[in-house]
Amino acid sequence: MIRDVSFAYSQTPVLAGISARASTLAVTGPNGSGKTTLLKLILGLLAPLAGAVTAPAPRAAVFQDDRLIEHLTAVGNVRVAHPGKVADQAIAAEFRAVGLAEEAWLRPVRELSGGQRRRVCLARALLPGAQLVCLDEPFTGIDAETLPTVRAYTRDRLSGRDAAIATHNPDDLSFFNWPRLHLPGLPKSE
Amino acid sequence: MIFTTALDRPRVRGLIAAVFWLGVWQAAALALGNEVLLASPAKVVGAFARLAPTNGFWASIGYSAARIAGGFAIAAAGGAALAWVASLNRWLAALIWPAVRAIRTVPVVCFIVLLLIWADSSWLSVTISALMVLPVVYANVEEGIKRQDEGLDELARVFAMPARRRWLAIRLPAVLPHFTAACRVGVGLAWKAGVSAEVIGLPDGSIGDRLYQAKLVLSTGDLLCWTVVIVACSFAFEKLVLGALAAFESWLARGYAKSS
Repeated sequence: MIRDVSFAYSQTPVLAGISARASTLAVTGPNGSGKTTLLKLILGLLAPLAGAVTAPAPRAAVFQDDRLIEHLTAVGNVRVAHPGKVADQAIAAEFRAVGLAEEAWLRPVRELSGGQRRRVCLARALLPGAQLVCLDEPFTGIDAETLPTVRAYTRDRLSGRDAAIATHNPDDLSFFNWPRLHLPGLPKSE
Repeated sequence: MIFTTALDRPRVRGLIAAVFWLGVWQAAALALGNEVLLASPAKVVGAFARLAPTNGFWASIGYSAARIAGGFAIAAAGGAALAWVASLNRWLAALIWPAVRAIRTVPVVCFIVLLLIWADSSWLSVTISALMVLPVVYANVEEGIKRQDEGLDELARVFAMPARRRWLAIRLPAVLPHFTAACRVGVGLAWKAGVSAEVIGLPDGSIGDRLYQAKLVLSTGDLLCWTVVIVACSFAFEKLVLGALAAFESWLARGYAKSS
């Protein structure tokens, strides 16, 4: 739940008086309107200047910029992010579901294509365990042929969990059909 | 074509370069015609053949190598630890920096003289090697810590990664290339400074002591033989350290790939 949240970077206000009650949320708005900042507030990476955010834990995320550990393999990146031991079969099932070719599983992620890396990020976030999942432009780089399957799998995986997606893609918005929060962006001070 | 490809291999190129410089050395020795000014490679090989079977030769290598390696290890661990402590707090960094800067800028000979006043000369090469390498390790590791990807730190926070995983998967791999670069430079520094200190402090049975003895009797062959030994030891030690670090890096990279 987001209640009357405001946030600023140094002297630049980004969010003012934002509220949302839904457990799933689609955040929209132009570049620089504060979508990623709002996801960071929900994930607890930033503290609001005013208002409050209450969100369940454990948490997971697909970050806008991947945030993969480059020297680790695809499997390593998924395993390292999850507390306790994750079975090989569970990771394999997740990779298959997001369409990551088997040949990529044990390669360092620095050798993978943009689309493959994105699928690793999705697998990492969608594995069971997290009660809150935030997705920041999650399907960037995924080819048009497999996109509908991956999108559908993501929605199914998030059912019963709290989730937020930030996206510019109208297809994502209509597919997820979650309550929308539009951030218009704050006027820049002179 | 096959011959050209074989010549293009780095090892072959290195061998040809070594043979070329040996030839230059031999030619220079012949041109001078004075064994005291410049002993020929053959004379140095002869000195090695004479010294190598003696116990003293290996004991001197062991004496200096143990102390220089000890000093290097102290500097590697101490420099990395200090850099980590400095990264925790700006005040701690401000406190540590002048000391590291002082060690870096004070001429090595000042430390040598001071240490000879304070302690036994057997401690000299350990301490001097450590003092020379510590600022290099500190500066490199500090840079590595500063350049760590903040995004991965956020990743660790979101996924609530335990501290051990953060260290093994994110922090150590980020700092390791900087630490390795410091070690690459540091090994050579440790040997140069350590042996220089021994030549001044003359601890009994050290390589520095042997170099000094060779100088006293104007035995340029022995002197150059010991110089070659120092270069070989430094090279071997560098290979050992870098090999161990490479093995550690690949162990870190393999981490989390398998469930067991």
